[in-house]
Parts: sequence; structure tokens; C-alpha cells
Amino acid sequence: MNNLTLEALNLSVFTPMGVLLIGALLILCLDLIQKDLSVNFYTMITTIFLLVDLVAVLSSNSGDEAFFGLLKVDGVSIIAQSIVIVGALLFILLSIIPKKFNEFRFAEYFSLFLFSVVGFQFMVSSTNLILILLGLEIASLCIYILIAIHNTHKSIEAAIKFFTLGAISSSFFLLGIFVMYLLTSSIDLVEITARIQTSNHTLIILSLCCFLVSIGFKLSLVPFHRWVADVYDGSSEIMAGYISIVPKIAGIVIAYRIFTPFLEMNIEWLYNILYFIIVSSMLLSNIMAMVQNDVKRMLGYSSIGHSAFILAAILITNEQTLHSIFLYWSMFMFTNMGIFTVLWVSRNKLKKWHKYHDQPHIKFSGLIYSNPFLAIVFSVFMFSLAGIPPFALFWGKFYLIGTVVNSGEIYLALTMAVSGIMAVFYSLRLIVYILLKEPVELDGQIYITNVSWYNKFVMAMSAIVVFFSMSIIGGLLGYFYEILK
Amino acid sequence: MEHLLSIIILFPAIGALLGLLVDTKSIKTYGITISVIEFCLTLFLWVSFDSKAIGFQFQEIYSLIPSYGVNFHLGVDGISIFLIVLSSFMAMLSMIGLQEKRDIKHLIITILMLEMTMTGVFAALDTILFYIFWEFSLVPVLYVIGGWGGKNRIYASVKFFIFTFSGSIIMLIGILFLSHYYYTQTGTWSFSITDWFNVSLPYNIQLWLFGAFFLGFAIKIPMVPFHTWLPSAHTEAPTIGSVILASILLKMGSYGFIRFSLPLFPDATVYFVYPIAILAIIMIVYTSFVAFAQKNIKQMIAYSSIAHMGVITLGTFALNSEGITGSIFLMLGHGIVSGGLFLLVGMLYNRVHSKEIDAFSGLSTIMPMYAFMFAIMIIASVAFPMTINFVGEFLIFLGFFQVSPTLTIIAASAIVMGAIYSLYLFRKVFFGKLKDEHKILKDLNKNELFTMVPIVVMTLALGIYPKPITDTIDTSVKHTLSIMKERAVLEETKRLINE
Repeated sequence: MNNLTLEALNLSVFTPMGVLLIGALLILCLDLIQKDLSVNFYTMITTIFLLVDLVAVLSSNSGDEAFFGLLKVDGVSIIAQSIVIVGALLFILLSIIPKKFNEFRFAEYFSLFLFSVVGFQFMVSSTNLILILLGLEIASLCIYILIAIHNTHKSIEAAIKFFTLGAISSSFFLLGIFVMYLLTSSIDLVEITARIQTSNHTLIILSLCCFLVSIGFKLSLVPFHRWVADVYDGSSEIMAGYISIVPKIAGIVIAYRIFTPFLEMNIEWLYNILYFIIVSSMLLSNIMAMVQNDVKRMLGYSSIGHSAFILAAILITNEQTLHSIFLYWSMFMFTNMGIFTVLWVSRNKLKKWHKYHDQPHIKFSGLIYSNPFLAIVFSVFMFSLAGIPPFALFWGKFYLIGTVVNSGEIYLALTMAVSGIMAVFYSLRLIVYILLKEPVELDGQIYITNVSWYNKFVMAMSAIVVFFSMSIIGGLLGYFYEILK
Repeated sequence: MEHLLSIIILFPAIGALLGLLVDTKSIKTYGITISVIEFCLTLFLWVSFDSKAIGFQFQEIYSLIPSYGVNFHLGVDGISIFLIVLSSFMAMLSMIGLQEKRDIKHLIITILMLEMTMTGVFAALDTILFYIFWEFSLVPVLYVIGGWGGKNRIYASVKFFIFTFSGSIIMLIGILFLSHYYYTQTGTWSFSITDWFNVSLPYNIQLWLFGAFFLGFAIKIPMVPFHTWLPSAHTEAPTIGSVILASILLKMGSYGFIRFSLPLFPDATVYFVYPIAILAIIMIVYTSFVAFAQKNIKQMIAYSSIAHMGVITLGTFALNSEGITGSIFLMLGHGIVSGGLFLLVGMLYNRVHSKEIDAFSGLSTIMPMYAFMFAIMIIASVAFPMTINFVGEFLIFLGFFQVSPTLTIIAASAIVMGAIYSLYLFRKVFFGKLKDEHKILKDLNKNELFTMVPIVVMTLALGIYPKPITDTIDTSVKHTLSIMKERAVLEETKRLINE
């Protein structure tokens, strides 16, 4: 214990998370000192800290370790953190709107938001299972509150549902850790995989099943998917968009870290279970998405299909896996962000189209006549979601299906193609409303009640990325190759 | 002019984007201007094209995804150049003849976007680029049919979209597999067919990949039994949609066969010659009978389109230079003729608001000019000598006769059905007693004449003197056949393909 110095802790690796922790605490302190600070102020403070965080993440070196290997920075964690931060950054900008919503009255909203980002950052930059669980719990607890704080009947229902099931899934994760510890007397994934000799031990099966349940819940895979639509429906558009992107990339990284070593050992039953989960998630979720009458619920089910796509890349474990996952998810992030921004901009409390839902399909009927610009942008995002070239998500799908084909899994690739056709079907249902049906609302202003420069900016950013993805995709992949070397 | 092809592809797209800023009153003139300039550009491409040279000309290559070998790779040869000229020609004429009044600005912008995708499909040499244009072309068509169509427009447009998308996503998997195979053989990634031509494929892989590509192309053509989207799309589509659908979009499928399936999978092509030829003959016979039973003029022309596409497919799989040259020439001919017919039906519909055959009779007494134009189009459609379709069909049957005289005889006699229903249509509509309510109908106006005269002139001129075009096509077709012969892995195939 003599060599325990401050330098040995290597605190600089902790900088990105530290910045955000300071930011979150600062917001709480400022709220104590002065009560009447505006939403703009808090949003800008949050944005600044997230920007600093992004710079810190991008400038951190792959291979650094802190706290004796507890925190590890590798290529995966840098890219995953960047996606988390960019997603958070753009979503928090949507907070500044002319309308008053309950959540923005509290400074804690922004503080919790930053804490959740910190949680995800811890989650993706460690191989220590306890730290992963800790990050997961920090982030999840923040998100439950962020959903509930919207303060509608449905948002509280959504938060309680999410909390209950989330707690159960976390306990499964913990159980998985216990069993792994029992087996290998280690809680570090690298050591665990090094110590496991035989793959058919009952305890391994038990432990991996526990992880599977927990990760399946976090990634909302079939059969752990029932919460998705209700939670999306109850959350505000900001939070629904946020939970469709940011927690999932963290979950994907965990799934990658846990399952890849075991998949490389050629454990047949694990492969089969994952295969079954992927296929059923892709097909069932898309069938469910086809019959929804509310855009947010539809997006909820569609996100299940997208997670399953990613899991397919994890399943096949070849050298392109990580690139395809991150490419897919960054493209998905901009597409989904665009869609949720459009929904957020058009959000109002009138409930004039449907008794329960805020965003039924019928609301957007004939949008091309009443608000042509919004209609074009919205349909471009939906075409991207369907994977129509040359929009963003096509490149993700193309590269990911390419990865699957390259490892010889033609049948899996064909299943993905079928699910792609289904995705076209449900996206087209909304596009038909937007472009082809008769208008229900002649006044286009009703669709932009929430508009402000900030959400216009987010929408423009997403639209530019989605529209011109053809020219940035090469550079992005080149960057991934460099980082993941 | 080394960037001529990119300019031709991007010009309509930029025109469409700038068109958003033009006011509704002058948008039609704007659209016509853009499409005329585009047509002039494609004519310039034709003029500067060296018809003696072998291989692709005007090649351009820019990297899109360097690590995965996806490039923006363009080039034309004798097979594709005339289809590009045809696309801009028909887009220009349908724009001039445009009669829609509602939301004209959206329509013009959509048509310009569509023009970009059409030229892109025919100019792309990178398969991923080809796939992008191929898929993106669905979006404007969806909007044209769904936005300006008839009663069942949404059903028709969505059916069209889902059908063609389903076929082509299977093709995408084929493309990805092929690129992976290329990688395992050479160690580099590429999606360019000019690279793929350098590697021969094993026989069993060829069979599977041919199937994947076949599904994509066959749905687009559309071959029986995947044809059901076409009649509903044509019935519902506005005139301009039908014109572009029939004259260019269907040709994408048959072009795909000649550009990709034949040279990439020569052995599989030979294996599938008879099944596909029989399917093509079923297409011709079956749709001819169905066409005869139609009561709607547009439906009848739509089914006759499928029959013609059957003849084109037959020519493609003759696998000799006569057959393939004929099938490309018939693509041009059918593009002009069916486009002309749909334009004429549209003109009638604007006057009477009906497309039923029974609603008309004796129109020739009151609309002589219209009847004259229609007559020329109808006889061109049944491939009367001295018209453009005759050249194509003659070459196709000449080509396929070398493969199988029996099948050629069956196909050629089925063509007679085409003459029967076409002349029946003409008799019902133009001869007989004129209905009282039609006595006020006016003959073609200046704008309509301006639309139709170029089509009629082309129909006759190319029917009489097709040599400049067929020679250019023939050079490229012979080159394609030599590639097939070179890449074939079975001796049998090498023997069967004669250049």
C-alpha cells in the first residue's frame, strides 16, 4: 500500500465525468442562491458543460486507465460517450420553447439530466461490473424522475412502470454479477473471461441468462419489451427521444462487452437464444408498429426493431461489428432526433385529434398542404427511418447488413431485409398521412406552436445530417476505424 | 467536359431545389425550361459520345466510403446512353403536355427530382449508387401517384412502393454478397461492376445471386406473377405519372438485366434462359388476353405495356447481339409509343373526364388530328413496319429464333393478339356514330400538338432509319457478350454465347 499516490489514481481520466458532476452540482447551488433564473440560462449552462465534456472525451487517449483499472478508456468508450453527449446536447436544446411545461420550472431538471449523462459515461467506460451497475442505476434513477416531472397523468404512470420494471431488471443484473463472482471470484469482465475455462457450467448459463434479461429489458428486446410503448407515450417528446437513443447505446456497449467474449467461445445455446431474440424482436416489433395509431407509440415499437438490428451485429462478432454498430446508431440518432423534434415542435395541449394520444397519425393528415416545409422535413426523416436511400439510416442498414452478409449469415440478413420491408410499411403509413391525405387543419401555425430558434437549430442539424449523409459517411467511418484500431 | 454526366444528373435536382423559390404562376414555364436544358445536355452527351469505342465513356469516380469501396462511379456506353436521352425526352414532353391544375408547383418539383433519379439509374456503374437511385426513384413516384391520382390513389401508390421495395432489398443483399465475394478473391472492397467483371463466380453462387437480382428487376419490369401493382398504379396515376412510369421506370428493370444480370452471372443466365423465356411468353399471351377484356383505355394500354415488356425480356435472354440490340431498341420504341399513348388518353380525359372505352365512339369525325395521331401510335404499338417498334420486335424474334424456333413462333403469334385489341380499341373510339354530347369537343390545341408532334416524328423517323442508334447499341452489346463469354465458368455457356 506504499505506492498509493494521487498520481497512481490517474485522475485525468476522470475529467469528462468530473466536468459534468461539477456542472450538475453548480446548477443545484445556483438554484439555491437565486430562485428566478430562466430556462434559457439553465439550458445554456447545461450546454456549455456538455460541450466541455465532449471536448474532454474527444481528447482523451485510448488505453488510459484510472483507479487501478476501474475506469478504462478505449475506442468503444470514446465513441459511445460522444454519441451519448451529442444526443444529450441536442435534446437539451429543445427545452427552450415559448410554451410553459411543468418540468422546466425546476432547476433540478437540468441537474438530473447531467447526472444521467454522467451515469451513462461511467457505464460505457468500465469493464468492472459493479461500476457498470452503478452507472446504470444513477442514470436510470435520473430518467425515472425526468419522465415523471412532466407531470401529466400519463407521465407518472409511465415513470412508475419504468421504475418498477427497471428495478427488477437491475436486480437481475446484480444476480448475474453474484453468480459470476461465485464462479470466478472476480467482478472484472476481462478477468472473468480469462478465468473461465469451460463454457457449459450451469452457473455460467444462470449468470448469462440473468444478464440477458437485464440487457434485454434495457434494450427493450422481445420478450422484455412491453413497457416501451407506454413509456414513450407518457413521456414528453424530449424524454421519449432521449430514452430511444442515449440509454440504448450504453446498453449496447454493455451487451457487446458481456456477450462478445462468450460468443467468441462458440457457446451454442447463447448464440441460439440471441438469434431467437433478434429475429422475434425484429419481426414482432415491426408488426406491432404497423398497427399503432399514435406516432410516439409507433416509434417506441420501431426502436425495438432497431435495437435488434444492432444486437445482430453483436451476435456475429467480426472485425466490422463495432463500426457498423456505431455507424448505425449515429445515423439512427439524427433520424430519431429529427422526428422527435418535429413532434415536440407540434406539441400542444389541445388534444383535439384524439382523446388520449397527443400525436395520433391523423394529426398530421395533409400536413403538406397546411405546412409544406415541416411536411417535407418530417417525411425525409420518416423515409430515413424506413431506410430509403440516400438518407442517413440507409447507410447504417447497408453497412450493418453488409457486416452480417460478410460473416456468412445469409438467413439473418434476409430476416433483416424482411424487417426492413415491414419498417417501410409502418413508416409509409405516416408518410401517407403527411403527404397524400386530405388536410384536417388548414392553419399551418397549429403545427409549430412550440417553435423557437433552438429547436429550429436542432431540426436543421438533424435534417442536414440526414439529407447529406452520403457525403459524411466516409469520413465518419474513417474516424471510427482510426479510433477503434 | 469530363463532368458532363454528373451535371446531367445533378442539374434537375438543383433545378428542383431552386424551384421551391419560384412562384406558382411561372412554375410550369420554369419546369419546361429546366427540362429542355436537360434534354439539350443529354443530346450534347450523345453528340460527344464515340459510337465506335468499346467500354464505358465519360467515366467519373469520386470516393464515398473509402474503407468499404463505395464510389460515386458514373459512365455510359451504347446500352445506357439512349435510355438517358429517352428519359430527358419523355420528361420534357410530359412536362410540356402537363394539364394538372392542382398543386402544380409540388408536381413539377417532384418530376424534376424523378428525372434526376432516372438519369442516375442509367448512368451509375457502382452498384450501391445504382441502388440509391433505383430506390430513391420510388419516392417521387409515390408522391405523384398518391398526390394527384384517382380514387384509390393511396392504395395504388403504397402497393407500388412496397412491391418494388421488397424486390430490391433482396437485390441489395445480393449486391452485398457479391462485394464480399469480390473481397475474398482480391483482398479489396469494391462495388463497381467494372471491377466485378474481372472476377469469375462459381456456378452455384451465380444461381443464387441471379435469383436475388432477378427478384428486384422482375418486379420492376413487371414480370408475371409480380405484375399486379402496374395496372392499379396506371389506373390511378395522373397522365404525367403514367407516361413516365410506362416509358422509363419499367425500362429500369430490363436495363438492369442487360447491365448486371447477364454479364455478372453468364452461366446462371444460360441456365435460366428457358424458364424466363416461357415466363415472358406467358406474360405476352396472358396480358394480351387480359388487355382485350379491359373496359378502361388506360388499363388496356397498361396491360399492353406488360406484353411489350415480355417481348423485351424475351429479346434480352436470346443472348445474341440481334436479340439484345432489339430489346434495347424496343425499350426506346416502347418508351416513346406508350408514353405517346398515355399522353393522348390524358388529352381525351381532360376533355371528357372519362377513360371508359364505351363512353366514346366516332371521335374521328370531330377530332381528325387527334385520330391521326392516335392511329399512328396504335399501329406503332402493334409493331407495324416502318414504325419504331417494328425494328425492335423484328430483331428480337430474329435473335430468339436462333435459340428456339418453337418458342419464337408462339411468341410471334401471340403478338397478333396485340393487333386485335389495339385495333378494337381504335374502332370503338374513333369509328361509328358520334355521340351527341361529344359534338362540342375540340381538336388538339397548339400545346398538345407541340407535345405530340415530336413523338410522332420520332416514331416514324426511327422506324424508317434506325441505323445510327442500332449500330451504337450493337457495339456495346457485342462487348457485353464478350464479357459474358470471358467470365463464364462452364464450357457449355461459352459455346452457347455467340457474339
